[in-house]
Formats: sequence, structure tokens, C-alpha cells
Amino acid sequence: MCWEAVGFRAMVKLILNIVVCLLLINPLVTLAQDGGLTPTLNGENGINASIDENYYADELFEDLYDSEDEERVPPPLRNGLRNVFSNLRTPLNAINALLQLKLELAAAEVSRLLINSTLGIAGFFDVAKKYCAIEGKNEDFGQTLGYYGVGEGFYVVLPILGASTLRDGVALVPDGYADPLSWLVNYETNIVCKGIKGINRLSLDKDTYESVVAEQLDPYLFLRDAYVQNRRCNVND
Amino acid sequence: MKKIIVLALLIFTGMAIIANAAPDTNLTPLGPKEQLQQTVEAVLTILRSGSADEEAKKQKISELVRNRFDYQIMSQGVLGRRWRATDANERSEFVDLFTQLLEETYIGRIRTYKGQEVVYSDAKIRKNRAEVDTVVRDNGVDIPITYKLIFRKQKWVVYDVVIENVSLIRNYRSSYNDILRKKGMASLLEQMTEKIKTLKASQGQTQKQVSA
Repeated sequence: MCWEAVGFRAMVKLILNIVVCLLLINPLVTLAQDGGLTPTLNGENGINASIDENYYADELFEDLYDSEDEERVPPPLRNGLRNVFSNLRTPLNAINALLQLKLELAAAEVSRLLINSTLGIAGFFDVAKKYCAIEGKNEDFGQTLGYYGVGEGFYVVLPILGASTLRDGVALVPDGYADPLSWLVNYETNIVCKGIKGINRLSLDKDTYESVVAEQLDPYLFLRDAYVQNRRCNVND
Repeated sequence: MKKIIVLALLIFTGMAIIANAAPDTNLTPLGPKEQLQQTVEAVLTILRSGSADEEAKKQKISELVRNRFDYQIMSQGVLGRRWRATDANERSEFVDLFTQLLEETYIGRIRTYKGQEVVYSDAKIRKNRAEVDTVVRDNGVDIPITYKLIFRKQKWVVYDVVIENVSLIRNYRSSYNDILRKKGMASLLEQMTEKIKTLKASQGQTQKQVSA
């Protein structure tokens, strides 16, 4: 990378760090790049409880989707629905790819949006991937912040939304504004769509939570580490 | 990340050797990719076979897996720096428990297999280590799984599995280290034993339900 870009990055990093610090008050923001994450705000029990609460929220919604012995929504429809939602977030991916100076990826996301919204019938089918071999990648503002060197801060489990870190949690705010769904529909409809999106995703990946809880000595630690490993890799790609 | 567990059964698909491999394979030693592929495909064949005897299937898979996965190196990786400070008895107990725990966790999952296909990329070899990237095709979603292998005793063995960027060994190391720091080795071993017991019990139960 040319060193002008590095200078640009350093400047953006500085500004972003200041913004995050101002936003999030205080020394809790550890801008450490390496090493273990700082232990969290809650005690161990508090956190485990919050994982469980999320789970029950999911379960409640899931009953609307699946009854005991039948699938109310057939799997192909679920996959299609997932594609529609992922098509809706392509502008968000493109913006964040641009912010991270990943021009090729930004172009790919734009092409995907154009192809899938038309030929793919509002994104129901992923034509771009299947027939044109254009693959996308989820990019969000948390990754953009990470790209410019903003540290993760501590790990948190957000109600309903699940695993996150301080940085990624803050990043949900700009992501929310950049999400096309929030421009297209009013606030209430947006919330309902988010709910459907979540339930649909969960239905495609049903037994994950139950198995982690059943099989791991400490599900909280296991999920925390998995989340952080996955995020670090996505930030550094 | 979430797919980790659902597809975990494919982790242990990575573990095994063809016990009855023909002798001529020794003459032209297979590379890491081919050796891994043999094991994974052998496990998939067992999974696809219609026979209802789940116990026998589990037994066969476990055998394949134990031949391809080096549980000793994996345990060493999980304990990290603690390995040296651990005495021989505790080490072998840990290896034994960790093996059982992984098997109970992942082999119990064979019922969830729904015909997913595995695609292999060429191995990246550096000295005596290799990485084989694979992709599991699950219902239109591709899940990247990387196997890390090391050449030991004339064959390639798996010592880590990376699913969607999450290393299995690092994942266990991080949670076990926390337990070790707070409560010590004896407590960790105890918790592992306890967990194996509950996993076995719950599996026995589902088996009864299935056959009932």
C-alpha cells in the first residue's frame, strides 16, 4: 500500500479513536490490539443469564415459525428469505468496503445488488453467485473501525442481538442508519423485519445454541472466544 | 461461526485412516490432502450407509477418527503453556478425557448428517506441516473448514480444525485456561468427567426415544 494511504489510515484511526472514546465515556475502552479481552462488566452469572434470556426470546419467536412436529415455513422459502435479507444489506457492505478501501469488493457488492434485485427477483435467488460467480462478503462498521485500528474494548452480550464487543456494539448505530431497510420502511416495520430476519436465520441453524450449552464446560467462554476469533479474522482480511 | 456446532460432525469426519488400506499405498506415499480425503470420505460413506445400527456406526467412525486425529498433540495445544507444568499422570488423564469429550460431542451428531458434500482444495505444505482447505456444501451455504495437519510416524495427522475462522483448539484453550486459572487442574478434570457422563446419559436417552 502506498504511504499516502497509510497516512490517511493513521489520521482516520486517530479521529475514530477519539470519537469512540468520547462516545463511550471512559477508560473502559481498552484500545489494546492483542492479548485477551478485558473481563466484562457483569459477573459470570449475570452474563450467563443474559445468554439464556436471549435464547428464550429466540425460542418464543421460533414457536411462531415451527410447531412441534411440522415446519410451517418450508426450507426453500427460508433460504430465499435469507437471500432477500442479505440482498438488502449489500449497500451496507458496499459502503463499508469502500470505507476500508476495498474497491473490488465494493464493486462486487454493487454488481450483486443490481443482478440479484432484478434477475434474482428482489434477491430471492442468489443469481450473482450461482451463475456469475460474484461472491460478496459481509462488511460492517465494526470491521471498518477495526480496519482503522480501533480496539475491540470488552466483550458484551447484547439483549436479543447476542455476542458483540464494545466497538462492534457502537458500530451498530451507524450501520442502522446506513441499512437500506431503515430508509425504505418506517421504524415499526423495520423492527418487525429485523425480527423476521433473526427468526429465519435461527431456523436455518437450529441446534447450535442448545449444543454449545449442552456440550461445553463453559458455554459463555466458548462463545466469547469463537466470536472474537471470527471477528478478528474478518477485520484483518 | 454459528455453524460450528451443527457441522461439527464434519470435524471428526476428518479423523481417521483406512485401517485396511492396501499395502501398495505405502510405496507411493499420499499427500496430506489425499490422506485427509480418504478419512473424510470413509466417514461419509459410513454416514450415508443405510444401516440402522448407530452404535456400530459410531464405533467405526471413532476408529477412523482416532487414526487420523492426533489427540495427544491436540491436548497439548489446548493446555498450551500449562502442558509442561502438568505431571505425566494428569497429562495422560487429560488426553484421555479430552478424546472422550470430543467423541461424545461430535460423534453423537451423526444423526444430523443430511448428505452434505465436501470439496477439497490442494494442500499448502510447509516442512512437516500442512493445511487443507475444504468447503462443506450445506443447503446452498458454503462453510469453510480448514484442517491443519502434521507429519508424524509416517503419516499426516490432524492437530487442529478451523471452521469459519474459528480454531477449535484455540477455542478450547481459551475456555479451559480460564477454568484452570480460577480453579486448577483437578477441578478441570473433574468437570470434564462430569460432562462426559451427562453427554453419555443424554445420548442414551435419545437413542431409546428413537428406537421406541
